[in-house]
Amino acid sequence: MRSTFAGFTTARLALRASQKALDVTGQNIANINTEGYTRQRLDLVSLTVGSGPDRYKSEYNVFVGAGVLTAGISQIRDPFLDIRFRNEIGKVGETEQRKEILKDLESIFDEVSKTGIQNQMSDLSTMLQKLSLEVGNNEFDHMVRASADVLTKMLNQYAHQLDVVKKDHEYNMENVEITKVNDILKNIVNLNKTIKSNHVHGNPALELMDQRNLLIDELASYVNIKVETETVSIGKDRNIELLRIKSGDKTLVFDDKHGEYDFEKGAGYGDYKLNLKEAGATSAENVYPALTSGILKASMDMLNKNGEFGGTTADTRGLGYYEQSLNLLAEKIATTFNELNKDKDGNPHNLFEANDGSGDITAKNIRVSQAWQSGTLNIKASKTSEFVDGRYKNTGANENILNMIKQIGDKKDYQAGTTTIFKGSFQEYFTNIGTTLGLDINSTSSMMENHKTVAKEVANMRDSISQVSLDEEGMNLLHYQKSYNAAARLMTTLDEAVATIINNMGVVGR
Amino acid sequence: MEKFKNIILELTSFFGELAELEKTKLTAIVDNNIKLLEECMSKEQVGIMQLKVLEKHRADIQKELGWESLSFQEVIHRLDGDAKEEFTELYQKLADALTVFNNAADSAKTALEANLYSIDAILHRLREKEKEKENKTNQAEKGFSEKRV
Repeated sequence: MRSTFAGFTTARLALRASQKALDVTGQNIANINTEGYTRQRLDLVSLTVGSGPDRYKSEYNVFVGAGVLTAGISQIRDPFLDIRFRNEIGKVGETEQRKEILKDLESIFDEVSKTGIQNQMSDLSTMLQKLSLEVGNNEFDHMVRASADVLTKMLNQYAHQLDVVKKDHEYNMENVEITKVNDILKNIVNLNKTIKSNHVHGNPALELMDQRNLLIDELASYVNIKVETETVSIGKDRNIELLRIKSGDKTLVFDDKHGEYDFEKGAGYGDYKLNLKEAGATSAENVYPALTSGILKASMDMLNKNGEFGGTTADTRGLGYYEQSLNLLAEKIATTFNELNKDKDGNPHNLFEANDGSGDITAKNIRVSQAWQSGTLNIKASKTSEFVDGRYKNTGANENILNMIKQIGDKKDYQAGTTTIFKGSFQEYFTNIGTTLGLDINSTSSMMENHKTVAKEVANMRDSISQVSLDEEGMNLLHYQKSYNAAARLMTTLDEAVATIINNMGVVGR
Repeated sequence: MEKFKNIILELTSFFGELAELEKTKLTAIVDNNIKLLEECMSKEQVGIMQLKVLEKHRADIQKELGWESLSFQEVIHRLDGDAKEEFTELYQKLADALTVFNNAADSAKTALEANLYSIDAILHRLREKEKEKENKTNQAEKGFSEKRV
């Protein structure tokens, strides 16, 4: 038998539910411009009582629900779109970072400037031509030397600029990017602690979860991540969810523990390491090979990889590729001229050498040889020139100088390991480096635009679900206002019904 | 050899064109331009047929040259001198074109999947609402018929 006043509880709960729903709608509208805010929804469940086993239960009993319960407030998010967005934002971060680094190189290889290597090669050729007409004239030999000196200094300058770009990115990686990622991990863990404490006390902490989601999105632009939750019981049929963020098979964040990245500079290309001390672990491990997207991968690739010089044709052309290309050019120039300046017995009388005493000539260390610079050595004008007292004697012939001029324009093989990567003159090779860089920038830009378009599209879709929509909230306002009015009407009706029992029932004939 | 070089050049330019098509497809998906998307899909179908023809042509040429079932890298390895240098460069260009094409195709696929997912989610919600409505109607009808009895 139902209590006479039972209906009032139903009406009260209905009023409360509608009021709460209006509160949630108000909160959504108030946060329409809050960054990262996720639309909230009131979760309602129908309340039923007395439907269990009962000694006096009759099959004619009719059980009516006892109203509505507000089970909680939840966020409207779509995990599929979250994953898609984070995957895509990682690719955007990676291509954007790669493009940035390539752009830094572009200014070095940009040959718009009139003082570039190409013009200097032409100048050297002109000076050699002048010398060929004035064989034996020291003045003209000095002019060739001065031109060669400018050329070597130019190569040194390019190598230095490349070094600056490399060092900038090492610094950026060490002090900006790694610090940023570690800060994000730390902040996520701090939020995890607060959220967990709130959940234990029954507070959904939705605003804190919004903040955490923003940080997770940001983290996804740096490294490839996978977000999981683990449900644990806190007793009395109550569960809370613990957050786990993984990158590959390594745990970056779990509950109140976070991992830590560390950048280890390498002596050469391929030696740079990205060490990660997993959440809760004591030792670190190089995780660079496991990176699949993100800013860190792009930075590490550009520092570690050297394209065709690494032995794989399709490998990323990082800073190493451009540095080694320049080294190859410097070495080719030096060996070509040094070879032509050997005496008839094949003894070397080098016009170019390494300034650090090493045998390997690079763009960074190439210089005009000390002997040539000091004037003790001169250019061999002819095959028949005798080498006496540290200098070539003048025979009047000039075919070796003409050969040197020819060599400047002649095609040569440029090899990365055993593979010829280019065939052409010095100038053509240098142009090719710039062209390759230009093509790399174009393809990276094109890929970046594609990823940006997709990321934007997925973000829009995600927002259409998670972001506050004024239209929907407006409709909700009307909807909940009506349900509130109806609940109030129910209360009045029940009151009137009870008034009938109290005031009018059993009074006939009184 | 010249034939082989030409087919590689053709493949490189073909993948360049396909990459552009994939980009247009991506734009069509993002702009919800169904007509343009359909056009792209038709062109893509034609492209797949063309690719099959080009691939067959390439396989035939390789067979003629005695390089049947060899990968491009293996072919390069067998060459020397100028040919090696020329084909290394050609391979690099083809590899670059393929990377750009794969990337554009992946992006278009992701955007399409996300769109289809959204449409599916909307349809699911509509179905749920429809079901809810149906249940209410059924309940009301049931109540009415019981009353009549």
